[in-house]
Amino acid sequence: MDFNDLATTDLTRKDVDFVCDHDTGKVWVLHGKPFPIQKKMASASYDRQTNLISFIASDGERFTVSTPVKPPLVTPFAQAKNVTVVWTDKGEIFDMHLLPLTAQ
Amino acid sequence: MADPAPAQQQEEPQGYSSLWESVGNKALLVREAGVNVVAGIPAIPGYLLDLANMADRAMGFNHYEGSAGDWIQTKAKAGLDAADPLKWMGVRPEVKTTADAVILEGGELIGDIAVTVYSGGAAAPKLAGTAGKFTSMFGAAAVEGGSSMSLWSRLAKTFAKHADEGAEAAARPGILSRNPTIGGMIATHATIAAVPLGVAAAEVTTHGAVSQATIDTMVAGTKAAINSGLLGKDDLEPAIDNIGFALEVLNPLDISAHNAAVEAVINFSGEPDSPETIARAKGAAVGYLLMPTQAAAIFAKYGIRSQLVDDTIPDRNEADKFLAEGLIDDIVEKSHTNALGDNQVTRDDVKHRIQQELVKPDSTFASMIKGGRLENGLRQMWPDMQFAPAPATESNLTNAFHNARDDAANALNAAQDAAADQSQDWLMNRIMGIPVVGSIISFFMKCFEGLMEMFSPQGNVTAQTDNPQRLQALQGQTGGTMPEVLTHDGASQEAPAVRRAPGLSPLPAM
Repeated sequence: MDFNDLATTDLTRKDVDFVCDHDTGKVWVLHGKPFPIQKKMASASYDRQTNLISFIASDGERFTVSTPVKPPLVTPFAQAKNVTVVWTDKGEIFDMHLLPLTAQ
Repeated sequence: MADPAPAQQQEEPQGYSSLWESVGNKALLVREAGVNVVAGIPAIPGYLLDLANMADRAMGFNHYEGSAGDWIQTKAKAGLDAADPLKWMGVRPEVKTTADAVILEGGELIGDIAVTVYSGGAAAPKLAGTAGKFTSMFGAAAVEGGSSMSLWSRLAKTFAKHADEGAEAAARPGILSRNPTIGGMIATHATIAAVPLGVAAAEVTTHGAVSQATIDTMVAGTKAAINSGLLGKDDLEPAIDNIGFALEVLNPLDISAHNAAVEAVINFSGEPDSPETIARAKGAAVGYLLMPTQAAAIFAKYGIRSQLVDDTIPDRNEADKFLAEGLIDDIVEKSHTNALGDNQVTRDDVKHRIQQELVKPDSTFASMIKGGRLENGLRQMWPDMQFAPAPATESNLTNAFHNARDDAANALNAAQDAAADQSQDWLMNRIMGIPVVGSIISFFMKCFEGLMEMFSPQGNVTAQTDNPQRLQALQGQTGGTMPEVLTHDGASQEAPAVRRAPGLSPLPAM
């Protein structure tokens, strides 16, 4: 799988999902297309003001998902210490990250 | 410690002859038992035995603080306990019997040797029984090579043949009885070389549970020689090599697994000669040594050096560098596999591999290195080496996932393709035990479990999505139940119908 050939910034609302477990506080981000920084994602950041989640590459490059997190998922995302990010489509998992998550 | 009684120094030579002949015979028995355990009982009992002894070994290395004699008794008992799974599973009881006998008799023998050394050398002449004869014989056998089995056969015969001649040296006061003579010096060398063979009798069956006793006796004998001025820095490494070789001879199956693991990486990487494949193969070769059993052997030698080096190299930094160089060279040497051909592991490769381990916050290997003399020694060797831990475990896991996902899949394929071999399960266990691969497999499982949680029937899970079919498809892979589903506008929507896959996939599809 060549990440770079498929990577796109043209993510629609249908390309990204947010999931949380209210009991354990765990959060997931599922996406149907690879992120532009797919191969070098090192951490994630959650903006409490905009409720947008960004992914930060090892070289500092950022990619922000334009779809905001909505209640009741806001609190779990704001409090989580890490996020599982899964690039998946039609039941197949192409890539997965466990990233440290900080809220700002 | 009390001076030895003269009568004890003049025991009958034939007693020593019987002793060493017995050692040789035990070695053959143990070797046979070891092969039976691994090959005759292919999977579970051997694996349980392995686990039990690994745990026991770790306990011995980390926590034991008693005398060598006590340690021997503890280990002999632990060896018997470890063999218990063979009994309750009702398979090959004759192996259990052989193992019992070997462990008991070997334990008594080792106890005698250890007590001899720790009693101030009262029985040191016993150890002089093989003297220089043994050392030269052992070296010659090693040079001649051949299979481990034939080497053992030759050793057993030459033990008996030379024991009487060695008994002549036994009559001389030994270094351990504090009367340094040439015979004593030879006796010390003999101790260093011969004791591991006695220890080895139980070593095979217990998978190395008696290594600490070997170290104890090595250190005691060699310290006495150093303090008497009979051994210097140049003598240290040959002495340590003796024990290393003796233990490695008893571990031929591990060496085979080592080679098989490296071969698997090479053969299933697509381009066997590519730099990437060679790098992966080298990584597997070095990574294999980080297995508990392999790492323990390397660190045992390091432990010996660390207790002796200050007596030979006064400068602290220089001594620490000596320790580090010895460790690195041990790793280079033990990484050697036929599968790597002309691309054997070098010091720089090891440096790169250690560097990778150092930045892992959860690396056992790194924890053994950091904060001690070895860290200082590595800094002396390589001033540019980085010791700072990585910022987050999650990032490291992610990197491991990306960098070595293919390696893990290839190694698993290799293991699965070995189905015709009865040792498949054993090989699989070995490969699973390679940290380079095993940690990745663990990561796979962690990811899979992470997905399972998303669909846990007991979970209180909410999904925000405009495309619930993606979640549904994942749920079909993992089983479980669909979470509550909201749209990106926050509106509730009906979850798609639950659809379960016919069976769970062991790993996420890649």
